[in-house]
Amino acid sequence: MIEVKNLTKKFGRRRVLENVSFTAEKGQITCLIGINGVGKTTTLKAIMGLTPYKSGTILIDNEPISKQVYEKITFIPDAAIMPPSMTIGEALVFMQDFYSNWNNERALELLKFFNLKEEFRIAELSKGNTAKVNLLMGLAIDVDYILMDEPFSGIDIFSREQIANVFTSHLIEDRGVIITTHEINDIEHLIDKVILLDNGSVLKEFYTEEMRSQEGKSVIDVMREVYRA
Amino acid sequence: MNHFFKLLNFEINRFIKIYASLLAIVIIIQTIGVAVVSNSFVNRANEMMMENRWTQEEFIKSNGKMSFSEFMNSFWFAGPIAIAATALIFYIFLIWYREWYGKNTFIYRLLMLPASRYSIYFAKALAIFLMVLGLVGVQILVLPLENELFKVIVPNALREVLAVKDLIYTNAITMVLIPSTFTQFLLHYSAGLMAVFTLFTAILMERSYRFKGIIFGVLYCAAVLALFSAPLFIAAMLDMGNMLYPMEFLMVEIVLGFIASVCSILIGHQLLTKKVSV
Amino acid sequence: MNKYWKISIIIALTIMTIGAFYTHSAYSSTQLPQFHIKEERGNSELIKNVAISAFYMVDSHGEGVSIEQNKTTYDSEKSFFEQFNRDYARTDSTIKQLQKKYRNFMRGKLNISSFYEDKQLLAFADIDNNTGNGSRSFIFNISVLNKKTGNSTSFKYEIPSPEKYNHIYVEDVQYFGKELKVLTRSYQQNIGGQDVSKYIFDIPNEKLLSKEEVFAGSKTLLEYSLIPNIDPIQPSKYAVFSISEPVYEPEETEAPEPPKPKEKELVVYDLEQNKKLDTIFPKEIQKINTDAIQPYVDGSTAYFAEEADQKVKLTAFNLETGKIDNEITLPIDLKGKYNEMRVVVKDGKFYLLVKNHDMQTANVKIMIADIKTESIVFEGRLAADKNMRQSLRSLELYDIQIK
Repeated sequence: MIEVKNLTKKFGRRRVLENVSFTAEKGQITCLIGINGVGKTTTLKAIMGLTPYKSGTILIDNEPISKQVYEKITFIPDAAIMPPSMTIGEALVFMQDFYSNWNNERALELLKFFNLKEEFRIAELSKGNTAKVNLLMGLAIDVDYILMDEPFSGIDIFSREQIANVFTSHLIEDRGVIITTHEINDIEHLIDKVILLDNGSVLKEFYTEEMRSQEGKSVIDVMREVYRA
Repeated sequence: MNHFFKLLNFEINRFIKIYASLLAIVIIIQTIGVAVVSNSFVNRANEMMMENRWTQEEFIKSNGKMSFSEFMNSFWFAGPIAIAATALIFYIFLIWYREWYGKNTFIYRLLMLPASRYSIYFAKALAIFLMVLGLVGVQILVLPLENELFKVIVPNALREVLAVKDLIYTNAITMVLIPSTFTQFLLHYSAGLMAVFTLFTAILMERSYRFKGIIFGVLYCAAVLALFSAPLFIAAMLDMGNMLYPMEFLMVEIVLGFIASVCSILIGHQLLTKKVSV
Repeated sequence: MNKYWKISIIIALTIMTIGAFYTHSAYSSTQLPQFHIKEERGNSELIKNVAISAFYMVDSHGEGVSIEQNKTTYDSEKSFFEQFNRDYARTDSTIKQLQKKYRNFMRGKLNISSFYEDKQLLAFADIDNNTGNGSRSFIFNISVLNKKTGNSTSFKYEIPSPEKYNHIYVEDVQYFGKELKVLTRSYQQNIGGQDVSKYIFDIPNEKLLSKEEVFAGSKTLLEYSLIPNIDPIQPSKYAVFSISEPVYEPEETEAPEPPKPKEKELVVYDLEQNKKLDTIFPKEIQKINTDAIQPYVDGSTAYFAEEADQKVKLTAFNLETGKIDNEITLPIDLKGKYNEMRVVVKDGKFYLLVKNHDMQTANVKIMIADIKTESIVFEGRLAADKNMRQSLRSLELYDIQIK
């Protein structure tokens, strides 16, 4: 379980996150939704230890982030994160080199699935292919948790379909996923839990299944209620 | 440790093309330089002997013999070394900043590796250090060969015979790069490594606190410089210039250098772990 | 291992080249000439303790070199610690030995003229010249170490009316009874000339007893130069001064003429009795050009050397009796136009080093004479293993040291 407790972060005087608390379970897809943009990516970075924060606690299976925990959790940002001069093949070798839990078979499988070639150069990838490579590199590590930042933003419709298909495949299985997005449509049916953020604070946290069965509302319905209020 | 070597290897491979070009520049320009400087001397000698109807003896009497150090004191020798040194100093900065710039932010991957952040830090420092040593190694290797080329071009009678060692001892650049004793070599390069750590810390300060970080970084560099030169200043201010024996002075400097390096490494690691933002 | 080949090459290259550079003889051997002292006649045992320090200079290459009987050591061949000590403290061997024995007392004390040593004590007196930044002061730093007990006392004394002086330095330090006597030379502010003064300090009470002008050069406008002691730190009762009219360098000389021997007078000052002696130096000594070869004082004897007609004549003059004790003439008979000479008197022996050279020849001759018996006991020449003439010509002699 990923636990975020009272996470507060400032950029200068501006408050980006204020007392943000939520949990994300293994085997579930948790979605961080925010309209006004700020805070979602920062939360993911904070969980990964990629950005300092003022106060709060973040635990991954009851442990703070450390080099051991980096074998358990991976982050898939929305920009290319391998050196531009590398080819995809070289990037895969690099990953295999450093991660003991790298699953090369799965990497090759994904490569095929996404129609990517090993000799493609990172610098020359389209936005959609960059997202696919990031996804590939995140998913090919045998981790318990995956954090995805805006996997669908600025991507063509076919790539979106391909990425969305990943969520229903064996590739996700019983891993815990935290995903940020502002376009809920593509994946609404996949999400187990929703956290609505606004101006750096959690407005509402709920399970989609419960919401649908008990109150008969879809995620969009709840969002309308919360953000229009 | 394993991760450290992999990262070191990775850092070297990333710069290898430019590095190889730098080595090539050093070798090619210096070799051309030996040929140019030697040939122009020989031509001048021949011309003067023709014009004045001089014998070799008479020419030597008025112009002297040519020594290989003439080449070593020329731009042909110092220029490429300066280019390579500048490039490597520039790379001290680039080795960090390249992780952030452009739409490819490799720093994400680097910081998420299941490797200690010390490994990341030291891999970068050692990569620079190793490339500097490699450059020095190449210079040591080619210098005798260049000397041989000089011997081929300039006739025996017109040249001064000096051993490579003697040439190195009297040239300002080689005296710093390859001092005559190994102890001094260690001291020079430890000081160099200390400078690299100091700059790294300044860079990481900028990466952590951005604009304010530049000020911190500059102040930090000034502080290290002040610490390192403190024994000199304190002695001068208290008017006791020779209170420390040379060896004691050296020991104090070594201890201060060690303290400065350890501080830089600890602060650098702390920043990389807790403060740096991607 | 394949993907590590680049880094492997760099590491291997680095270790091999740098390793070879610091261990392999192809890199560490020098091609500079190796010198040795070739014995021509006499007792070669005597040359064992002699070291000649010089500077070897060919074109752009120049470095210090020390030459012993069968050993040549260039500065670059010395260990780091030797090089470092040489670079950072240009100290002579006497001070180095004192530093070994009295490490803490010797801290920060470097000026050889400021020391005095006898069986009981080691004394030091120097003057701090502070003339920068508008302030002006001249302060004596006096320290005396009791060699038996290891106790030391030190105190300062500030010279009054600092505005009168431009700078002041110590020429000699002696110790009689409980009194430390310091000879100083002070350069006056505004007016020319140098005064030689004597300060007497009461060591147990740490105070100045008296100050006396020995020679007032600022009034007489004469030059008073102290003839140095052979061993500047040993007890010495007499100070010998050479008094002469100052010679002003003519402006913009067309051709550098050899300086004419100055008209001068020699005076002996008894530091114990605080008075000038009426010793009269014979005419032949008075006319010796002391600028050409440095004269020395050793206890109650003064040594004067003079070169003329391919010979060097040494005269040992007794300051107390006013008589010449010994005279010895060394034939140098060398053909070159130019002579450069260095002399040292030590333990009753006279060491003479002559470099003689012109376009055709270059020779470095070394002779040792026994002063008491007035006989030459060693004669030899410097030889080089290659390019003898040029190697010798490229050698600039500094001095002779006798261990």
